[in-house]
Amino acid sequence: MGGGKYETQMCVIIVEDIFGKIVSKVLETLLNESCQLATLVYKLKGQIKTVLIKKSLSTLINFGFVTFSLDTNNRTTYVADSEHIQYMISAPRACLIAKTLYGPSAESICIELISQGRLTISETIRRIKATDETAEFSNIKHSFEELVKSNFLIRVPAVESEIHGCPQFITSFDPFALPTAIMEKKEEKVDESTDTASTSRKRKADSTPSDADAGQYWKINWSRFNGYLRDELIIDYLIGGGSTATMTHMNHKKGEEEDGDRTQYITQNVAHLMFKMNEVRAKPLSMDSITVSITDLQRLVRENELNLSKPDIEFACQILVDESDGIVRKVGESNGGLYTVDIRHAIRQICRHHCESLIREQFEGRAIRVMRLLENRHFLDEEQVEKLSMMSGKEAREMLYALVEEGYVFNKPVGRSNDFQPARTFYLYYVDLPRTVRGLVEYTCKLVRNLVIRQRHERTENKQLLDKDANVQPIIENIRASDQLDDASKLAQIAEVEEMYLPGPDRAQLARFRKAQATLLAAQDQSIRVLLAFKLFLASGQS
Amino acid sequence: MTSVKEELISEVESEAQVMQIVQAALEGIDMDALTSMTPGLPQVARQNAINSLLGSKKLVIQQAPGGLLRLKVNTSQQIAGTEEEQVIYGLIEESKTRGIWIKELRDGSGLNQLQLRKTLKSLETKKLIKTIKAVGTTKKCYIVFDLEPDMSLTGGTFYSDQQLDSELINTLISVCGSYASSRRKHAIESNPNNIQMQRESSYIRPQEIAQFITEKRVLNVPLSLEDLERILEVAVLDGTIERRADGKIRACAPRSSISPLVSVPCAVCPVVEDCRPGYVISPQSCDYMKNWLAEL
Repeated sequence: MGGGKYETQMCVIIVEDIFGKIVSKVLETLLNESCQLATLVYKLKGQIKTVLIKKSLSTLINFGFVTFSLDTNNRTTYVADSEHIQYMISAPRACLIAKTLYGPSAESICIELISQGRLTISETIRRIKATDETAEFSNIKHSFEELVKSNFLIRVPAVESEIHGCPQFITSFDPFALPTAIMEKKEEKVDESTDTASTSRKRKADSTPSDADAGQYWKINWSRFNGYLRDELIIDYLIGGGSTATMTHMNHKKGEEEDGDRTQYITQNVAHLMFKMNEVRAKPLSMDSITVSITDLQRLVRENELNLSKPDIEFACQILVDESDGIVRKVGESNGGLYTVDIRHAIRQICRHHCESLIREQFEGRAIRVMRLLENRHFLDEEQVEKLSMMSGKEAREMLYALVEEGYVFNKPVGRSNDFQPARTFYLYYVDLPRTVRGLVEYTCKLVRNLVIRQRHERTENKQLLDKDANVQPIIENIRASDQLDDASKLAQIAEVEEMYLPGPDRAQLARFRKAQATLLAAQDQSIRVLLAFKLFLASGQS
Repeated sequence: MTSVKEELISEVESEAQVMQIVQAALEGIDMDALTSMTPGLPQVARQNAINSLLGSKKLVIQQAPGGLLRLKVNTSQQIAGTEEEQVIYGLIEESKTRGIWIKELRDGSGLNQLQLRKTLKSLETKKLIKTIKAVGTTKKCYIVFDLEPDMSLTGGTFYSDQQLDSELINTLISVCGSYASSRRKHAIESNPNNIQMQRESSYIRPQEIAQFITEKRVLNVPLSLEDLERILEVAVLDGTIERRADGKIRACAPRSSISPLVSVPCAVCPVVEDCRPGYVISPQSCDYMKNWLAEL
C-alpha cells in the first residue's frame, strides 16, 4: 500500500495524534515496508517492547489501519492501509453526514464506531446511553438500522477458521444483514444499561449471556461515505460552491425561496435527485455514468415529496446540460428524456479546477491560458505557445519554464538527429494531468501533515490555558446549577470566577486558540476532500 | 527593298513575340524554353530582338538559383543611378512587402560585400529603400521605401516596434470580455422569465464586437476580423467567454469558487520544499501559518 513520502508522514502524524508515539512508530515501520511480526520485532529491537508491539498491532488492526494475510510461504504478513488512516480526517464530516441524513442518534452511532473502530450493536447502544442518558433505545436502534440499510455501516466478517495461525474470515455472507437477536435482547439490555459501570464489569466477566449479538461487529463503511462525499463534490462543482445543501436539505427549501432563486432551487434538487438515483443502483465508488430518465426523476420527486413539476424537471435538466461543461448530457428521448451524468468527466473537471486554482495563485492568470492551450492542442513548441497565447516570446518562455518546474506542464525532446543536440531538437510541451495530480496528491498530503502538526503545536502551546479552562468550567457549571442563587448573583459569581482564573488576555488568547483550531480543522477537512477527488481521478485511470 | 522591309517588319514582330512570351512567364524564362516557344524566328532575329529589348530595359536577365540565366520582364521603375543600384533596387522591389535579406541580395546580384554595402547606403540616402527588422529576429531586411512591410514581418496589428504590445492585447481581451458580459447581463434582464431566450440572446457574433471596438475607437488602426478571432481565442482560453459550434460567443458565468487548497499558506509558501517538522523551517515555527491563523 505504498504512498509517497509525505503520504506516509501524514498517516504517521494522524495515528500519532490518536494513539501516541509507540503505535505510530509501529505503523511507520509497516508503512515503510509490509512485514511479518518477527521482522517487525527485529526492526524495532531496542526501541519498543515486543508486548507493546503486539498491543499496537492489535489496536491498529482493530481500527482497520493494518490488515494481515498469509503470504506464499504461509507466514502472516501485516500491511498498513494508508487510505484507511486518511479517513480519520474526514470522520467529522462523516458524522455530519449521518446527522443530516438520519438525525442525532445516527451521529452518536458514527462517533462511537469511529472512536472504537468496531463494535457490536448492543455495545454501541450501551456506550451511547452511557454518555447521553436521554438517548432512547428504540431511537438508536432505528438509526442503526437506517444506517445499515443505506450501507453506511458494514458487518465485519466473522472468523471462520485458522490456517497456519492466521485467522480466515467468512467470505460469503450478507454484510448488511442485521442480527435479529438484538430485538430479543431488548428488555434485558435496557435493564443492564441503566448502570453502565456494573454492565461493563459484568461484560468483562461473562459476556456471552448478556449479548446475543456478541461477535457480530460493525464498522463504518468508508467507501459508502466516500461515495457520498464524491457526489457532494460533484454537486458542489455543478451548482457552484454556494450550495451546502445535502440531499436531505432539499425539502426544507421549498416555498421560502423567491422566484429568482427558484431556478437555483430546482436545479439543485434535480442534481441531487440524479445522484440519489445512483445510490440505490450502483456500487458506492463505481465510476460508471449515472443514467436517469425524466420518469425516474418524477418518481423520486413523489417519493421525496418535493414541490417539482415535470416542466420544472425538464427545465433543470436543460440547464444542467447547458451549463455543466459536458458533465450532464442528454442521451435519448425514451422515458420522457434520458440524461447521463458523466462521473469520470466530472472528477476530471474537478481536478482541473483545483490545478488551475493553484496555478492562478502561484503564477498568474496567463499561466492558466498556457495550460489550457496545451491541454487543447496537446503538443506545442515554444514558438507555437507564444503565438497562440498572444504573449511575447520572453513571457511565454518564462511561463513555460515555471510551469515545468512546478510540474504542471512537461516537455518532450524530439531530436532531429539522434544525438539530441539542443540546437537540433524540438522541445514539445504538453499537459499530463494524471502525472500532475500524482504530484499534487503528495503535495496535499504534505499540506495536511503540516496542518495536523500545527494544530498539535497550538494545543501544546496553549496547554496551560486549556488546563485552567478545564478547571474553571466545572466551577461555572456548578454555579449555574446551584439553586440557592438568583440569576443576577449567578452571573456576578461566574464573572468573578472567570476573572480570577482566566484574566482578560488569557480569555482572548483562548478564543483565538479555539478559532485557530476550527480553521485548521476546516482546512484539513477541505484538503482531504480535494485529496479524495485527486485519488478518485487517479483510480479512474483516465489520461 | 521588299526584302529589307520584310526584315524590318519581322524585327518588330519578333520583339513583340518575345515580349509576349516573357510576359506570360511570371517566373521568367530561360533561353532554351524561349527558343522552343518561338520556332518561327531565326536564331539571329531572336537574339536581336532580345538584345534590343534588353537595351531598351523592357527585359532584364536574372540569375536563377541553379545558375541558369532567365529573361524577365523588367518591372522595376527606372531609377537614376548606377548599374549596381538598379540591379539591387530591382531585387528589393521584387521582394515586394516581404523584404529581402542582405545575403539574398548578395547572391542575387553577384556583387561583393563592399560594393553591396555602398550601393545599399546610397539607395538608402536617396530614400528609395528602407531597412526593417522582422519580429523575433535580428535579421535586417530591405524593402522599397513606399511599401508597408508584410504581416509576417511586423507580426500584425499587435506589434509595435517589433515588440508584442501586451498592453493592447490585454485591453482588447478585457474589452471583449466586458462587452460580452454586458450583453449577457442585458439579455438576462430583458428576458427575466425565459431562460432559453436569455441564453439565446446572450450569444453574439464576433462581428458585433469588432463593430463595437471600431465605434468606440479602442484602436487607431482598423481591427480585422482575423485579429479579433485571435483575441477571442485567447479569451476563450482564459475562460472569460465561451464559443458555440456556430462561432457565436458569450460571456461565461463567473466561477467564483476557488480551491480550498489555496486558502492554506502552504499553497504559495516559497520555502515549502524545505519545510520539515522539527527543523528550522517547520510547521510549528511557521510565520505564514501564524499570520494566517491570527488574521481570522
